[in-house]
Amino acid sequence: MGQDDVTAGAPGAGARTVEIKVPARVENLATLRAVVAAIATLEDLDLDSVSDLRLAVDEACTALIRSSLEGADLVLVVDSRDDALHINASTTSGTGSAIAPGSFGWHVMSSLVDEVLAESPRDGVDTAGVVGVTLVTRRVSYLQ
Amino acid sequence: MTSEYADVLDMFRLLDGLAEDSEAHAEQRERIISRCLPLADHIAHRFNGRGEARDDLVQVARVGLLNAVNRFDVSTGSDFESFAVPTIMGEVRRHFRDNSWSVKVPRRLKELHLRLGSTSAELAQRLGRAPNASELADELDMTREEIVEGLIAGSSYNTLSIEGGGGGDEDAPVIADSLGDVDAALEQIEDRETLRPVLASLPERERTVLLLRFFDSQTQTQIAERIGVSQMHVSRLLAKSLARLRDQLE
Repeated sequence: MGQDDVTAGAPGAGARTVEIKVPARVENLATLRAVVAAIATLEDLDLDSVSDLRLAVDEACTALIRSSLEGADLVLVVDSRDDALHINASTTSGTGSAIAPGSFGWHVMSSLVDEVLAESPRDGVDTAGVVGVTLVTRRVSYLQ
Repeated sequence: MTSEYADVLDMFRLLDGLAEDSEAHAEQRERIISRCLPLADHIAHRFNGRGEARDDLVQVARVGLLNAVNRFDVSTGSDFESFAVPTIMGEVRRHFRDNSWSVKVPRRLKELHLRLGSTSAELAQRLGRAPNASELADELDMTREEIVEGLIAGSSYNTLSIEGGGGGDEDAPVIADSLGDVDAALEQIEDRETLRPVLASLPERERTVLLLRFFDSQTQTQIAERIGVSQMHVSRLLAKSLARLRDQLE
């Protein structure tokens, strides 16, 4: 409904993907939040979900930015699929982890979206590498 | 000026003599509130023209009046007006502090943003959940793109004042009942020992909203209804307290 821009034949993933890259700095958080909120609103998530998603992106990206190496970029990919919105944020970290499962930040994100996934450098060894967080918000119509 | 509401003291004395959960008590309280509404509206009027919607101001001032009526103790011998005015002003000031536009936003977008706030509250009432952009667009006879524009304008709301305030002097909202089992929920969190004092240091209203959202699984719309503010306001309070917690937990 209203999704007139859906690429014919695409089963979901990739057809409506937006990717933005910004320097991993807190000044860019507002941009990241606004982009995600705009996409989620256009994708017709209800306003509670949009607002929760903004908070979750804020939480995830703040943690990533804080763990990022000097001069690193933060890449945010918003993938609008038929059943859910998948948002992946990642950066290059010097500490090897951004948000630990079990922390308050993790609890906050898990309360705000349906699924939270973390990626860290191989086997959690304390070396520099790509750290990321994926947030998944399912469309309500797919939950019933 | 004081004489204008002098009769209210007698109304309070009558209220004092009634059993607290009686119907007569509730009715008398209603009477006092209606009698004093002009006081709240007058204060709201004084703050008019500073960029907040008039209806919102009146509503906020009336909340202040309710608080004043609830807390006024007639036996102290002071008059109601000099007790109520600072309480109402405090509520209105807090509204401004929580809602001020920190970035220049075109008037058209401000108005759209405010309209979106009231319309989504109405729709939430009707639907029993938060509306989506299509539903708002239908209701306001606009496109989804315009709705997005209006909502995004809201993100420049209050972005700079997150560091402001910080005092723990906020009045408690009118919520006395339980917040669900916070302790049980906290058990799931590894850094709970560090978290507890930080949570305790949040202003009352922010803490309440935070606990309801993250430890009682209520939606922003439900919380908004419960504490009598808009969903957008709940969202801003959450953003603000999460930012504080992040800083303090680091």
